[in-house]
Amino acid sequence: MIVPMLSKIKTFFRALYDLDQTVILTLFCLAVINILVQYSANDKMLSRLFSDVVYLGTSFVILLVVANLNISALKHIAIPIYLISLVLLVAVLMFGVKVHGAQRWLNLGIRIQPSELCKLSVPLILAYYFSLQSRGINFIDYIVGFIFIVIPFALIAKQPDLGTGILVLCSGIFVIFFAGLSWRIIILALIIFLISTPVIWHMLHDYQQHRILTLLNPESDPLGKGYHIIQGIIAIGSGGLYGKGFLHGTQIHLDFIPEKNTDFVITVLAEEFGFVGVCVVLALYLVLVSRGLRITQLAHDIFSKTLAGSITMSLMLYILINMGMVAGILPVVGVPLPLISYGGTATIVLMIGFGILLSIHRQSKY
Amino acid sequence: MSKSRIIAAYIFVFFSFILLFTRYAYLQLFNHNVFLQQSIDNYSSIVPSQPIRGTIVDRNSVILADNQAAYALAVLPKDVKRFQNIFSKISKYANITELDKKKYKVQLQKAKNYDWIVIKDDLSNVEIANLTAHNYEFPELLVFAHIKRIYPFDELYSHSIGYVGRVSLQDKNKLIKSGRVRDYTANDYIGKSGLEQYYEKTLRGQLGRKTIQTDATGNEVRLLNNTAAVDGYTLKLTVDNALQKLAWNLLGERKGAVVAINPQTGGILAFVSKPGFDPNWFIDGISLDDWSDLSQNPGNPLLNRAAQGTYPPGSTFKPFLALASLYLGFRTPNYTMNDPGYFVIPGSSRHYRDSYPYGLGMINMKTALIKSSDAYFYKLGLDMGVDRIHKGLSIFGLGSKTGIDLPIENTGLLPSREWKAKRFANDEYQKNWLPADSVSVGIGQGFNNYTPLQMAHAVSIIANGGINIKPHFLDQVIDENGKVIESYTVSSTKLPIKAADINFIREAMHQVILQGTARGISSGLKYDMAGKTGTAQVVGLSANSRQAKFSGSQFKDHSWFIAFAPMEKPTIAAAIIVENGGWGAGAAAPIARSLFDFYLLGPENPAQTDGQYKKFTPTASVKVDTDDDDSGDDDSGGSDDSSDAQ
Repeated sequence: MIVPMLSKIKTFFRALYDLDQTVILTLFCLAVINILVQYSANDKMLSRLFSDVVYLGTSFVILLVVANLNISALKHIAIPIYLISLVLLVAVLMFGVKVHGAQRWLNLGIRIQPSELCKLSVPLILAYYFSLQSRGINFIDYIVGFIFIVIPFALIAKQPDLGTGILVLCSGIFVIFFAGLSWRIIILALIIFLISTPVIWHMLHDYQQHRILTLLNPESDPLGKGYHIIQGIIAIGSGGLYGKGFLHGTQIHLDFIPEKNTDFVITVLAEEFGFVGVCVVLALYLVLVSRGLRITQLAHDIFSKTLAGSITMSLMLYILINMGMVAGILPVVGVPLPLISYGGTATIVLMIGFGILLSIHRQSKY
Repeated sequence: MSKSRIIAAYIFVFFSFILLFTRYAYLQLFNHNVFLQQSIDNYSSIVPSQPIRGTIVDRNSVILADNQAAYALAVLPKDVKRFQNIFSKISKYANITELDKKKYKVQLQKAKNYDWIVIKDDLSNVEIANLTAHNYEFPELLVFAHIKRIYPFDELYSHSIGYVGRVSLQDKNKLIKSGRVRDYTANDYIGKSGLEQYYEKTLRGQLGRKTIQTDATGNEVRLLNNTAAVDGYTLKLTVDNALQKLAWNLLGERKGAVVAINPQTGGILAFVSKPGFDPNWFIDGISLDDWSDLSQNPGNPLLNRAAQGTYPPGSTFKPFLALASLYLGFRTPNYTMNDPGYFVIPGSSRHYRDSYPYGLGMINMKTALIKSSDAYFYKLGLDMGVDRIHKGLSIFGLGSKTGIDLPIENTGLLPSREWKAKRFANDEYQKNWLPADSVSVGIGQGFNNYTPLQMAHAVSIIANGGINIKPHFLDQVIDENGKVIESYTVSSTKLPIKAADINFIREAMHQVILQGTARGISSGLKYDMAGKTGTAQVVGLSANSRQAKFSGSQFKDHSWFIAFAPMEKPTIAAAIIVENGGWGAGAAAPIARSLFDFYLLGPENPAQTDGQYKKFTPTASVKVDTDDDDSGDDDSGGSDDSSDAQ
């Protein structure tokens, strides 16, 4: 009775040992920082912290499960998951719950946000599609791939949730990029994008235009839209080198920062732990991203490579957009800071991504 | 897959991290102080608590400047928008004047978010009751109590105590310069004139500050720091309120000034300039009507005649000139000359008239003083010359500020060669000191102007036997428990005058009262008094001209009197001027007698007053020339019609 159990535990730890130690350790460090920061950001409310820890624990279990899956298993579920995502997105548009003028959630007992799922399903279907092209990927394949991206993007943008839409778009584009789309086409696409910017501008909703305008000049509207950015910057700047000390941030605890446990969580870290705290987190992120790119490089096949590349670069994009937005150098886009923001669907999706990355790494060793 | 993709990804990652790193370093390292201050400003708000301004009391602790509670109706700027016609709504319950509306608009322009804007101050009990009862109609309005300065004696101390008013932009700039701006809030009162201004620091106390931490919505979270307000100290003056009242009443409807000093201490006993004004009008801003009443009043009530009005001293100058000549060893008391009723500068044909048309015959210095001979002092002035006059008289503080504890006083004019050269720089002839100038100066006319304060100070030097004591109002600074914090330090200098000389002059002045020009006030005198009459010419008029006989009161001479008593260790010395009062013995001298009787013998011996203080109503009359350095009698110095009444 005991012996088989012991052997099972042994297998578990061997499996754990087989996984990339650097990634696991870095994720663990970030989780510790998450708990500290969330304790402060939720004003020492243990109930909130508890549900955050539950999310973290769950996502770690999911990470380990996904990491131990065979990567080829993912190929089998790529199409079903993609289709499910599309169905859910349509369902959101039809029966979704409306919050603050945007219809983003679906109430299925628990409230879920299907657009989050697309952050995985879109790169998955693309990687799968490209892996099928045994004689090489031609231009038509890229067009097909782009269509796979544009459909969910359009559905998400219609909610409207341009921020998440762009992230989904990017996650797909990263796959196309790593699949080897020629530089000439990439540069051409960039030029077309820049030219069409004015057109896109007019397609944006008022609040989206406002966000971008406010970013360019936050002081123009200090008590309106610019308020969040200004208060965020004050929190960051007032932290200084060492910060005001754990639980001693005034901007945070006197309610000057909105959404301080989610999108603006970096202000908590920056105000209470200062530039040192910010650098520690940046260093951990750098380790994760470099490790992700190394895994991408080592991956054997096109499916693993493009998927790993997309997951890694998406992570990079989340970090850049969130920290850049709060620090006032990028538009306000509702993106949580990976692993530091309060746990939720986003954390779980992120950890599934890391699971896939670890699985790819485990299999590329042989 | 080509390697270039991975390299491109690495480059993107590298630049992303560099971007974030530099941005956070920029905010957290290079601009830390800016943002730290902003975060402090975000959460801390300072609630000032007002100190109670010190009161001002007389030598017998009669309160001369007090504080009292006043009730004001006020509104916050953020609520103003909701009241388009705020006044029409309230006018049912409170009497709103045009001045209130004007003040309201001024406040509205400079008010910050949480500064209460006063709609109407000094609400009556009925108004308070009405407004409170109908508060539901305008819940944004608040009736609040605050402390306000009040001067219970209205005009009586308008030129000595002065008044307070709201901090103006000029006050603010001065406060910034002196580094005391943090002690005031925008709506505070500050001393604007007189002792209120001079002793501002002592009276003001210290502003209390409560620093509270507030959250984003402005709710108080906790108290960060609390510095309690320190109330201002009480000023105890040397002034005797009863004597002040008496002096005020004795001047009656006439314009003029009375300055009484204790010659032993330098303490001011009475300090009256008439007409005065009601300082209570100035506290919360004076109305335009009141202001034009005051500023355009021909009686010039805003002028502090006692410390800023300068007048030719007339014959009151003579004892000082005589003493100066003795002090310099230029004359002896025995110097005798013939007074034929006029004086002629040797080698010239001009006649300077004496007030005794047929002269006094052979007279010495004592007789010249007692009878106020002009001829004697014309000659003395001429013989001494401007340099000796300047040197000899400056020791009495004439021509320089007395250093009294008031913000403003005039220097008057004790002439010198340098002064005249400068004054008449463009006049080749007049810029030299002429013998005729000395002649006029000899009898206290010409280039010769002093304030009543300077004359009182100077006569107190003769009174106390030659000690120059700085005159002052302040006696003691007292805290709220009645403990004396500080006593005024008297600064005095013993002048190098021989006792015999000074006693000679004192005796001559004593004889002025007994048998001289002021003998009219000597009947029934119960103490030994010394004095000297004087008449200051307003304009040079020909003695026999029709104009002099029929001209209005504004051309009448100013009546001067200086005096001290008792002879043995005097305790009171005074200088009195009654504008257009005619000759010195007529108008000014009786005032001195009444004051001295009251002061030395007590209130049961009132000379001719009921002791009640009456309000003064200025009457229209032509403005009197009281300019200091070019008073209208430039021609009198050179005129052969100069005359000096007794």
